Amino acid sequence: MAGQTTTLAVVGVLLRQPEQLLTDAGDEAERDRLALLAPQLLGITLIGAAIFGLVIGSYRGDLQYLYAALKTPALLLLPVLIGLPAIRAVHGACELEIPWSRMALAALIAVARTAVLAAACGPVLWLYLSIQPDYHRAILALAGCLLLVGGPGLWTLIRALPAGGRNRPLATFASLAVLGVLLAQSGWLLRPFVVRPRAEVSFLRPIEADVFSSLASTRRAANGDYRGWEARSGGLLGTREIDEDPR
Amino acid sequence: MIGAALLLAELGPPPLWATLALGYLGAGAAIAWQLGRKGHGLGTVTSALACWPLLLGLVGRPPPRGDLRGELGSGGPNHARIDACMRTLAEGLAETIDAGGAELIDAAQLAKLGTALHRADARIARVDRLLLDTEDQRALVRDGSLELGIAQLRGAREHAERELEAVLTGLIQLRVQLGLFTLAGESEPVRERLAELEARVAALAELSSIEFAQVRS
Repeated sequence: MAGQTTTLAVVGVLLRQPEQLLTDAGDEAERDRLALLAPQLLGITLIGAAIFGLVIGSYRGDLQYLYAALKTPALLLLPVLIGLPAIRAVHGACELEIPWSRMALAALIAVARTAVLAAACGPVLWLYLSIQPDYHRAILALAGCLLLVGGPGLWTLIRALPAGGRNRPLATFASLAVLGVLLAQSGWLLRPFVVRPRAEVSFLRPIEADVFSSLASTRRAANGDYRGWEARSGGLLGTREIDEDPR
Repeated sequence: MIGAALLLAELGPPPLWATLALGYLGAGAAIAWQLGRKGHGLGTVTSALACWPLLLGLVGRPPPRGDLRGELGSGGPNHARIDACMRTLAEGLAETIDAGGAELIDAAQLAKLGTALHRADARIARVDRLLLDTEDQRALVRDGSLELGIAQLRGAREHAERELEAVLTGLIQLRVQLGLFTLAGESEPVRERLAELEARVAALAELSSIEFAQVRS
């Protein structure tokens, strides 16, 4: 493997100058670079996200260590795998044709950087979770960490895409919206990540409703209206039953 | 057989998520197999199993040649040029042998020269990174000895860069002399030129270490 770039060198460049991993030498060079870097970037993503998952699992312990470590890489990769065609189409609509290899490489770099930063955040989150904060505070800490590491990751993705095109800010905004929605729904489908200390551990909860209906129910509950918590299974996204107001 | 069919009928159609997951994995396996057939590495093939949408651009293409060492910080700013010079020289030597000429330069000798050049180039890259890192600190710390050290380091770096440039030019000249050897059959100038270049690269390594040691002291 002497002829290969070491993974440690790639991690260093990811943190220091991620754009150095890209090339402007044409489509051919981009494909070569994708083939060379994809295994390493995926490996970095898996390891970094698994470390972060272990930390999240430490709040409950037992099997949740393993479950969270397995699910966190999927949480980072799913939005990219599903949303990439949409992001490309959005940029195409704004008159910016991006080669698929460039798009894939940019996305992989962004996800790998997020995973490395998440792993770096791990010790701080672990320290916080080790003092057994309230469940809701633990969720907030997790969300805060994800925001903290997701920002640089998204910024890397935006910077990695070529400049130009018409209405570029619109394309950027739409891409971020697509990724944001997909990340939220992926997190919802793959939950639980943080499990209450005395709750039963499970790999996945039954598929029910979607993240947005749950947020709406939470908002209603905050206003003293407890309707709409009866979820029932309904295909991939599920549905939520809303009782008619008896009044 | 009938029992299995009855069991399947009793179970009903598979859930949507299972169908989607199977379809995704099936597509991944097909693409991984295709990439494997083309000679891509195990890492790329395994990656395609799980993340095939990202690797669609590689379908039907041969695996890449070379690596990214020169562009990812472990090599220097002249990595690509050194590689190009060494490749041209190796091609020239191969042509000479094909034309019925003698083997003027040993392949191991050429590889050693290339390695020495890459090392010198990597040293320049390290100095560049060091200078970049200290740039931020200079704004905070005003120290005469630090400024002097940085100036010396810059000087040593410039000198090393000039020497490396001269060696690269010498390699191009060597390539031209190989062409002359094919025509005139005089091997002595080629050997002399190569010996000169080797001495120059060795001197570059020694000089760099002396100059950098002076900066440290």
